[in-house]
Amino acid sequence: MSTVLTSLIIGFLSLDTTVAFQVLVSQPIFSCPLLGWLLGDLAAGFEMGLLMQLLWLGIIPAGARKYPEGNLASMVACVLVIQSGGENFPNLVFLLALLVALLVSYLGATLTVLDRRLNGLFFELARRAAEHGQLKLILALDVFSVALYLGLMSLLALASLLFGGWAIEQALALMPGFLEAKLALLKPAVLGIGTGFMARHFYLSWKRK
Amino acid sequence: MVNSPVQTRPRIRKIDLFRVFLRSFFIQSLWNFRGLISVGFGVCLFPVLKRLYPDRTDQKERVEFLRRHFKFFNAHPYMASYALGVTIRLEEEAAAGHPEACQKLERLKDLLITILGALGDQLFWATIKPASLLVGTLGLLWFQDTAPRLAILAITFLLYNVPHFYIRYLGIVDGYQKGLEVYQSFNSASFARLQRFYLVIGVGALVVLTVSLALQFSGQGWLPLATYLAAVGVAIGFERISGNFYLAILFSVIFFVFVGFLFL
Repeated sequence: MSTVLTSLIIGFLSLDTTVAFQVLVSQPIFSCPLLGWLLGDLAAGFEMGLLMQLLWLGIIPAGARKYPEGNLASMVACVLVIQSGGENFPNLVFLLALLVALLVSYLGATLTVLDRRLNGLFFELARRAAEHGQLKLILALDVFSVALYLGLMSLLALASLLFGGWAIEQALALMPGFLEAKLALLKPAVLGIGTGFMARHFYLSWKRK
Repeated sequence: MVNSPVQTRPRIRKIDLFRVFLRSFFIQSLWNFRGLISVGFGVCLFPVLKRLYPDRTDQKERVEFLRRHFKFFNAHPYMASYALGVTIRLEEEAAAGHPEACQKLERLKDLLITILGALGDQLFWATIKPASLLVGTLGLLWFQDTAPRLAILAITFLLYNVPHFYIRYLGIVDGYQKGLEVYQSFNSASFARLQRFYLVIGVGALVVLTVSLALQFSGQGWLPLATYLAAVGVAIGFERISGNFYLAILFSVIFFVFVGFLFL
């Protein structure tokens, strides 16, 4: 599948985070296997879904707060890992994909804020259209705002896949072989970090209850 | 559908409520910092507007209708269905010749912003979502074959979306039937029971997941196990101290890569 089409699918799945549906299909344990299946490596999709899910699980995408775009980031990381070899992927590939994912989650959060600011313009246009009872125009603005988010997230995914793919290729060519063994603690560490975040999340929820 | 006074306007039908339900999946599509979800909320009500004011001669009423709903409004996207239901009921009353219903509606919507936001955030974002996804994560860890993994994902999807879809639809119907008495729904014990149920599932799944991962890593030697357990502690401590998500992950990853260089 072409990188452009993959980016569009990632952008489409990202809509589920806040913009539309919100039925969880953008969450890593769903989106990564789906991308894995589409790219021909379901096993790697499951593995990446498991590794990435816990990291972002405690994030609440509510109200006006700026939150890391973990779902988009996990999808990008999953595709990078699959494109770099897939199942039983090396620790080095996972480390680089994780670093790209952190960057993408930050940039995604910034882009979401930008999208919401642009939506402010559509809001004013919609209010003007409302003054004239133009329902079709309001609906068109609504659909366009969804398309804008889809476009922004797809572009970010495309840029990340191109940059990340290039960076991983360079790193694999340049890094000495012994490094792979030194990174063996990465996966236990990532799962431990995710477990820690969730433990704190449920401790606070339980205390509030 | 309700015992409202004699009216000359068409009345709301069940199909209208269903159309509002379908549109509610896009209620946050035009989220912005000025009106928050107000445009999405208004767009959800288009089937109601078209039912109550079907003719072009109703232009004045249509504009008034839109003005009422394109002001500032916010709520949790699922719980907003209660506000949609009450709005449909009061708009129907207003169309039937009770203009005071509009004033009541505006006051009620202001009150609902805080209630629906807090209730939905606690119930769905803070409890049902993490609990359901933890069950899915645990399933992916336990099963290695594709078929059981797909089955566990299907269960996870239902575990989350059954209450999600139910509350989205129930909110519209309940709000429409109860009208201004909708606040009774928020005081019911069913929300508290539902939250407690998922909290128990979430905590249980987290404990089992932690033990399963610890057992899995212990099979690989003491260092992976120690790393996993230490990472749990580092993440809790770092997030508590700094509260910065990115720093907590970056610090932990760098730290354990360094440990790997020292001991491996």
